[in-house]
Amino acid sequence: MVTKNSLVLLSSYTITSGEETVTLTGMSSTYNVHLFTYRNLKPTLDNQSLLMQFTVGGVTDTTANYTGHMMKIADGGDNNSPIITNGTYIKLHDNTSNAANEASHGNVWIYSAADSAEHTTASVDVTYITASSGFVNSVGHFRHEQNEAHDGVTIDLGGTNDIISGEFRLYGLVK
Amino acid sequence: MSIGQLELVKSVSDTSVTSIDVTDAFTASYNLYHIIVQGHITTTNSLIDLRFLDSSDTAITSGYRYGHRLQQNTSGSEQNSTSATSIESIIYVNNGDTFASRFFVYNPFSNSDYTHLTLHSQGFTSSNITNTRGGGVLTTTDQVTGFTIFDATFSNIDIDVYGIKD
Repeated sequence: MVTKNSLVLLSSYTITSGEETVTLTGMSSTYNVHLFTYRNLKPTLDNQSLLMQFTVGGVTDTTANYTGHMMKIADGGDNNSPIITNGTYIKLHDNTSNAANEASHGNVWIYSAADSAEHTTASVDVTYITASSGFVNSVGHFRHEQNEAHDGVTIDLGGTNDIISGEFRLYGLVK
Repeated sequence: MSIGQLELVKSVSDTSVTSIDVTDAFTASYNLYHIIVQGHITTTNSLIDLRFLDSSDTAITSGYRYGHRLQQNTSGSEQNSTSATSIESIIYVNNGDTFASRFFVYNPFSNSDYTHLTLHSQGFTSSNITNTRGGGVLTTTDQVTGFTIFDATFSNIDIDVYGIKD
Protein backbone atom coordinates (compact mmCIF):
# COMPACT_ATOMS: atom_id res chain seq x y z
CA MET A 1 0.00 0.00 0.00
CA VAL A 2 1.31 3.40 -0.90
CA THR A 3 1.49 5.91 1.89
CA LYS A 4 1.51 9.65 2.15
CA ASN A 5 4.72 11.38 1.13
CA SER A 6 6.21 8.23 -0.38
CA LEU A 7 6.99 9.76 -3.78
CA VAL A 8 9.77 12.25 -4.41
CA LEU A 9 9.82 14.28 -7.63
CA LEU A 10 13.26 13.92 -9.23
CA SER A 11 12.82 15.54 -12.63
CA SER A 12 10.10 17.09 -14.74
CA TYR A 13 9.65 18.52 -18.20
CA THR A 14 6.72 20.04 -20.05
CA ILE A 15 6.48 20.37 -23.83
CA THR A 16 4.37 23.20 -25.18
CA SER A 17 5.68 23.20 -28.74
CA GLY A 18 7.22 20.56 -30.96
CA GLU A 19 10.24 18.59 -29.68
CA GLU A 20 11.58 15.30 -31.00
CA THR A 21 12.56 13.65 -27.71
CA VAL A 22 12.30 14.07 -23.97
CA THR A 23 14.95 12.83 -21.54
CA LEU A 24 14.49 12.87 -17.78
CA THR A 25 17.32 11.87 -15.45
CA GLY A 26 17.75 11.55 -11.71
CA MET A 27 17.33 7.84 -11.05
CA SER A 28 19.87 6.68 -8.45
CA SER A 29 20.55 4.14 -5.74
CA THR A 30 18.76 6.40 -3.28
CA TYR A 31 15.62 4.61 -4.47
CA ASN A 32 14.93 1.00 -5.35
CA VAL A 33 11.85 1.89 -7.39
CA HIS A 34 11.19 4.82 -9.70
CA LEU A 35 7.96 5.99 -11.32
CA PHE A 36 7.87 7.69 -14.71
CA THR A 37 4.60 9.33 -15.74
CA TYR A 38 3.44 11.26 -18.76
CA ARG A 39 0.22 13.12 -19.34
CA ASN A 40 -1.47 15.02 -22.12
CA LEU A 41 0.94 13.74 -24.73
CA LYS A 42 0.08 14.57 -28.32
CA PRO A 43 2.11 14.06 -31.48
CA THR A 44 2.28 16.71 -34.15
CA LEU A 45 1.24 14.14 -36.73
CA ASP A 46 -1.57 11.63 -36.42
CA ASN A 47 -1.03 7.87 -36.08
CA GLN A 48 2.33 7.84 -34.26
CA SER A 49 4.15 5.33 -32.05
CA LEU A 50 5.64 6.21 -28.68
CA LEU A 51 9.02 4.69 -27.85
CA MET A 52 10.87 4.46 -24.54
CA GLN A 53 14.51 3.83 -23.68
CA PHE A 54 16.70 4.18 -20.59
CA THR A 55 19.73 6.44 -20.28
CA VAL A 56 23.27 5.78 -19.09
CA GLY A 57 25.00 8.88 -17.80
CA GLY A 58 22.25 10.94 -19.36
CA VAL A 59 22.80 9.44 -22.80
CA THR A 60 20.05 7.37 -24.41
CA ASP A 61 20.88 3.66 -24.33
CA THR A 62 20.15 2.42 -27.85
CA THR A 63 21.80 -0.98 -27.51
CA ALA A 64 19.63 -3.85 -28.75
CA ASN A 65 18.85 -5.26 -25.31
CA TYR A 66 15.22 -4.28 -24.74
CA THR A 67 13.01 -7.33 -24.33
CA GLY A 68 9.40 -7.32 -23.22
CA HIS A 69 5.78 -8.22 -23.68
CA MET A 70 2.84 -5.87 -23.96
CA MET A 71 -0.87 -6.66 -23.84
CA LYS A 72 -3.12 -4.25 -25.71
CA ILE A 73 -6.66 -4.11 -24.31
CA ALA A 74 -8.94 -2.26 -26.69
CA ASP A 75 -12.56 -1.15 -26.66
CA GLY A 76 -13.17 -2.69 -30.05
CA GLY A 77 -11.92 -6.10 -28.97
CA ASP A 78 -8.94 -5.84 -31.31
CA ASN A 79 -6.53 -6.98 -28.63
CA ASN A 80 -3.06 -8.29 -29.29
CA SER A 81 0.08 -9.05 -27.33
CA PRO A 82 3.25 -8.08 -29.14
CA ILE A 83 6.53 -9.54 -27.90
CA ILE A 84 9.70 -7.51 -28.24
CA THR A 85 13.05 -9.33 -28.26
CA ASN A 86 16.39 -7.56 -28.25
CA GLY A 87 14.98 -4.35 -29.63
CA THR A 88 16.63 -0.96 -29.50
CA TYR A 89 13.57 0.46 -27.75
CA ILE A 90 10.22 -0.50 -26.23
CA LYS A 91 7.07 0.67 -27.97
CA LEU A 92 4.66 1.92 -25.33
CA HIS A 93 1.87 2.54 -27.81
CA ASP A 94 1.19 3.04 -31.47
CA ASN A 95 -1.34 4.59 -33.85
CA THR A 96 -1.57 7.50 -31.43
CA SER A 97 -4.16 10.14 -32.21
CA ASN A 98 -3.34 13.84 -32.32
CA ALA A 99 -6.97 14.93 -32.43
CA ALA A 100 -8.34 17.53 -30.07
CA ASN A 101 -9.25 16.14 -26.63
CA GLU A 102 -7.46 12.85 -27.35
CA ALA A 103 -4.24 13.10 -25.34
CA SER A 104 -2.30 10.03 -24.14
CA HIS A 105 -1.24 9.20 -20.60
CA GLY A 106 0.81 6.53 -18.87
CA ASN A 107 2.90 5.37 -15.97
CA VAL A 108 5.96 3.13 -15.91
CA TRP A 109 7.32 1.62 -12.68
CA ILE A 110 11.07 1.03 -12.98
CA TYR A 111 13.02 -1.44 -10.85
CA SER A 112 16.74 -2.00 -10.18
CA ALA A 113 17.64 0.97 -12.34
CA ALA A 114 20.72 1.98 -10.42
CA ASP A 115 22.07 -1.52 -9.83
CA SER A 116 24.98 -2.06 -12.23
CA ALA A 117 24.92 -5.80 -11.49
CA GLU A 118 21.30 -6.32 -12.55
CA HIS A 119 19.01 -5.75 -15.50
CA THR A 120 16.74 -2.73 -15.26
CA THR A 121 13.11 -3.87 -15.44
CA ALA A 122 9.82 -2.03 -15.79
CA SER A 123 6.06 -2.50 -15.75
CA VAL A 124 3.91 -0.40 -18.07
CA ASP A 125 0.34 0.90 -17.84
CA VAL A 126 -0.65 3.39 -20.55
CA THR A 127 -3.91 4.69 -22.02
CA TYR A 128 -4.49 6.39 -25.35
CA ILE A 129 -6.86 6.97 -28.25
CA THR A 130 -5.84 5.65 -31.65
CA ALA A 131 -5.95 7.54 -34.93
CA SER A 132 -9.09 5.54 -35.75
CA SER A 133 -10.74 6.69 -32.49
CA GLY A 134 -10.33 3.43 -30.55
CA PHE A 135 -9.53 3.29 -26.85
CA VAL A 136 -6.47 1.26 -25.83
CA ASN A 137 -5.05 0.35 -22.44
CA SER A 138 -1.66 -1.25 -22.95
CA VAL A 139 -0.07 -3.09 -20.04
CA GLY A 140 3.10 -5.10 -19.94
CA HIS A 141 6.64 -5.38 -18.80
CA PHE A 142 10.12 -5.10 -20.23
CA ARG A 143 13.74 -5.20 -19.23
CA HIS A 144 17.06 -4.04 -20.56
CA GLU A 145 19.06 -7.24 -20.65
CA GLN A 146 22.44 -5.89 -19.76
CA ASN A 147 23.94 -5.52 -16.30
CA GLU A 148 24.35 -1.77 -16.05
CA ALA A 149 23.03 1.20 -14.15
CA HIS A 150 20.51 3.52 -15.76
CA ASP A 151 19.85 7.05 -14.58
CA GLY A 152 16.91 8.15 -16.65
CA VAL A 153 14.43 7.63 -19.47
CA THR A 154 14.02 8.91 -23.00
CA ILE A 155 10.68 9.25 -24.82
CA ASP A 156 10.60 9.51 -28.58
CA LEU A 157 8.02 9.23 -31.35
CA GLY A 158 10.58 7.77 -33.71
CA GLY A 159 12.14 9.42 -36.72
CA THR A 160 11.98 13.19 -36.76
CA ASN A 161 8.38 13.44 -35.66
CA ASP A 162 7.62 15.89 -32.91
CA ILE A 163 5.76 15.70 -29.64
CA ILE A 164 3.69 18.87 -29.63
CA SER A 165 2.57 18.69 -25.99
CA GLY A 166 3.13 16.59 -22.91
CA GLU A 167 3.93 16.68 -19.20
CA PHE A 168 6.66 14.27 -18.07
CA ARG A 169 7.62 13.43 -14.49
CA LEU A 170 10.15 11.13 -12.85
CA TYR A 171 9.73 10.15 -9.19
CA GLY A 172 11.60 8.04 -6.66
CA LEU A 173 9.69 5.81 -4.26
CA VAL A 174 11.02 6.29 -0.75
CA LYS A 175 12.57 3.14 0.73
CA MET B 1 13.80 18.24 -5.26
CA SER B 2 10.55 18.33 -3.38
CA ILE B 3 9.23 15.92 -0.81
CA GLY B 4 5.80 14.40 -0.55
CA GLN B 5 4.31 14.10 -4.01
CA LEU B 6 1.67 11.53 -3.04
CA GLU B 7 -1.07 13.09 -0.97
CA LEU B 8 -4.21 11.56 0.44
CA VAL B 9 -7.04 13.83 -0.67
CA LYS B 10 -10.16 11.83 0.13
CA SER B 11 -11.19 8.79 2.17
CA VAL B 12 -14.72 7.41 2.05
CA SER B 13 -16.18 4.34 3.75
CA ASP B 14 -19.65 2.90 4.03
CA THR B 15 -21.52 -0.26 4.97
CA SER B 16 -24.60 -2.04 3.62
CA VAL B 17 -24.96 0.08 0.47
CA THR B 18 -25.48 -0.60 -3.22
CA SER B 19 -23.50 2.42 -4.37
CA ILE B 20 -21.08 4.92 -2.99
CA ASP B 21 -20.36 8.43 -4.24
CA VAL B 22 -16.94 9.99 -3.86
CA THR B 23 -17.51 13.71 -4.36
CA ASP B 24 -14.96 16.53 -4.48
CA ALA B 25 -12.18 14.05 -5.08
CA PHE B 26 -10.69 15.76 -8.12
CA THR B 27 -9.58 19.38 -8.15
CA ALA B 28 -7.20 21.64 -10.01
CA SER B 29 -4.47 20.74 -7.50
CA TYR B 30 -3.61 17.47 -9.27
CA ASN B 31 -3.79 16.05 -12.78
CA LEU B 32 -3.05 12.43 -11.85
CA TYR B 33 -4.78 10.38 -9.16
CA HIS B 34 -4.18 6.96 -7.64
CA ILE B 35 -7.31 5.39 -6.17
CA ILE B 36 -7.63 2.26 -4.04
CA VAL B 37 -11.01 0.58 -3.56
CA GLN B 38 -11.41 -2.34 -1.17
CA GLY B 39 -14.48 -4.08 0.16
CA HIS B 40 -16.72 -7.04 0.66
CA ILE B 41 -19.96 -7.82 -1.16
CA THR B 42 -23.05 -9.89 -0.49
CA THR B 43 -24.43 -10.28 -4.01
CA THR B 44 -23.63 -13.11 -6.40
CA ASN B 45 -21.20 -12.75 -9.28
CA SER B 46 -21.16 -8.98 -9.15
CA LEU B 47 -19.68 -6.89 -11.91
CA ILE B 48 -18.93 -3.66 -10.16
CA ASP B 49 -19.19 -0.50 -12.27
CA LEU B 50 -17.88 3.04 -12.17
CA ARG B 51 -19.27 6.33 -13.40
CA PHE B 52 -17.71 9.75 -13.13
CA LEU B 53 -19.51 12.63 -11.43
CA ASP B 54 -19.66 16.07 -13.02
CA SER B 55 -19.15 19.34 -11.17
CA SER B 56 -22.77 19.18 -9.97
CA ASP B 57 -22.12 15.71 -8.49
CA THR B 58 -24.38 14.21 -11.14
CA ALA B 59 -23.37 10.86 -12.57
CA ILE B 60 -22.36 11.03 -16.24
CA THR B 61 -24.27 8.25 -18.01
CA SER B 62 -22.95 8.24 -21.57
CA GLY B 63 -19.77 8.58 -23.57
CA TYR B 64 -17.68 5.80 -22.03
CA ARG B 65 -15.43 3.42 -23.94
CA TYR B 66 -13.59 0.64 -22.18
CA GLY B 67 -11.70 -2.58 -22.56
CA HIS B 68 -10.86 -5.19 -19.93
CA ARG B 69 -9.02 -8.46 -19.82
CA LEU B 70 -10.47 -10.80 -17.16
CA GLN B 71 -8.07 -13.55 -16.15
CA GLN B 72 -9.19 -16.45 -13.98
CA ASN B 73 -7.45 -19.57 -12.74
CA THR B 74 -8.00 -21.55 -15.91
CA SER B 75 -9.23 -19.12 -18.52
CA GLY B 76 -9.31 -15.58 -19.76
CA SER B 77 -11.77 -13.42 -21.61
CA GLU B 78 -12.22 -9.90 -22.87
CA GLN B 79 -15.01 -7.44 -22.29
CA ASN B 80 -15.25 -4.23 -24.21
CA SER B 81 -17.58 -1.52 -25.41
CA THR B 82 -17.29 1.50 -27.66
CA SER B 83 -20.47 3.12 -26.40
CA ALA B 84 -21.24 2.43 -22.78
CA THR B 85 -23.16 4.10 -19.98
CA SER B 86 -20.44 3.33 -17.44
CA ILE B 87 -17.03 1.71 -17.17
CA GLU B 88 -18.34 -1.74 -16.50
CA SER B 89 -17.09 -4.82 -14.75
CA ILE B 90 -14.20 -3.19 -13.05
CA ILE B 91 -14.16 -6.02 -10.53
CA TYR B 92 -15.64 -9.49 -10.82
CA VAL B 93 -16.45 -10.90 -7.40
CA ASN B 94 -18.75 -13.50 -5.92
CA ASN B 95 -21.16 -13.40 -3.02
CA GLY B 96 -19.42 -13.18 0.30
CA ASP B 97 -16.00 -12.38 -1.00
CA THR B 98 -13.61 -9.51 -0.82
CA PHE B 99 -12.26 -7.43 -3.66
CA ALA B 100 -9.60 -4.81 -4.21
CA SER B 101 -8.88 -2.48 -7.08
CA ARG B 102 -6.55 0.33 -7.88
CA PHE B 103 -6.97 2.98 -10.55
CA PHE B 104 -4.95 5.70 -12.16
CA VAL B 105 -7.15 8.59 -13.33
CA TYR B 106 -5.74 11.18 -15.71
CA ASN B 107 -7.03 14.69 -16.32
CA PRO B 108 -10.41 14.47 -14.56
CA PHE B 109 -10.65 18.17 -13.76
CA SER B 110 -9.77 19.31 -17.26
CA ASN B 111 -12.67 20.59 -19.35
CA SER B 112 -10.65 20.46 -22.54
CA ASP B 113 -9.48 16.82 -22.65
CA TYR B 114 -11.04 13.42 -22.07
CA THR B 115 -10.73 11.69 -18.69
CA HIS B 116 -8.77 8.42 -18.86
CA LEU B 117 -8.68 5.60 -16.32
CA THR B 118 -6.59 2.43 -16.02
CA LEU B 119 -7.33 -0.30 -13.51
CA HIS B 120 -6.04 -3.46 -11.92
CA SER B 121 -8.54 -5.42 -9.83
CA GLN B 122 -8.72 -8.64 -7.87
CA GLY B 123 -11.82 -10.61 -6.92
CA PHE B 124 -13.01 -14.13 -6.31
CA THR B 125 -15.85 -16.19 -7.78
CA SER B 126 -17.20 -19.49 -6.52
CA SER B 127 -14.21 -21.29 -8.00
CA ASN B 128 -11.78 -18.79 -9.45
CA ILE B 129 -9.49 -16.03 -8.41
CA THR B 130 -10.12 -13.17 -10.81
CA ASN B 131 -7.65 -10.61 -12.04
CA THR B 132 -8.81 -7.76 -14.25
CA ARG B 133 -6.59 -5.38 -16.21
CA GLY B 134 -7.88 -2.67 -18.45
CA GLY B 135 -9.21 0.81 -18.56
CA GLY B 136 -11.62 3.24 -20.07
CA VAL B 137 -12.14 6.76 -21.23
CA LEU B 138 -14.95 9.26 -20.87
CA THR B 139 -15.17 10.79 -24.32
CA THR B 140 -16.62 14.09 -23.22
CA THR B 141 -14.87 17.15 -21.87
CA ASP B 142 -16.98 17.37 -18.72
CA GLN B 143 -15.12 18.63 -15.69
CA VAL B 144 -15.08 15.51 -13.51
CA THR B 145 -14.95 16.09 -9.76
CA GLY B 146 -15.75 12.64 -8.41
CA PHE B 147 -17.00 9.17 -9.16
CA THR B 148 -19.51 6.58 -8.04
CA ILE B 149 -19.01 2.85 -7.56
CA PHE B 150 -22.17 0.77 -7.94
CA ASP B 151 -24.02 -2.34 -9.09
CA ALA B 152 -23.44 -4.60 -6.09
CA THR B 153 -24.44 -4.83 -2.46
CA PHE B 154 -21.43 -3.85 -0.42
CA SER B 155 -21.36 -5.02 3.17
CA ASN B 156 -18.44 -2.67 3.47
CA ILE B 157 -16.42 -0.56 1.07
CA ASP B 158 -13.39 1.69 1.63
CA ILE B 159 -12.04 4.13 -0.94
CA ASP B 160 -8.86 6.19 -0.72
CA VAL B 161 -8.01 8.83 -3.32
CA TYR B 162 -4.42 10.04 -3.60
CA GLY B 163 -3.28 12.98 -5.70
CA ILE B 164 0.16 12.87 -7.28
CA LYS B 165 1.66 16.35 -7.33
CA ASP B 166 3.76 17.64 -10.18
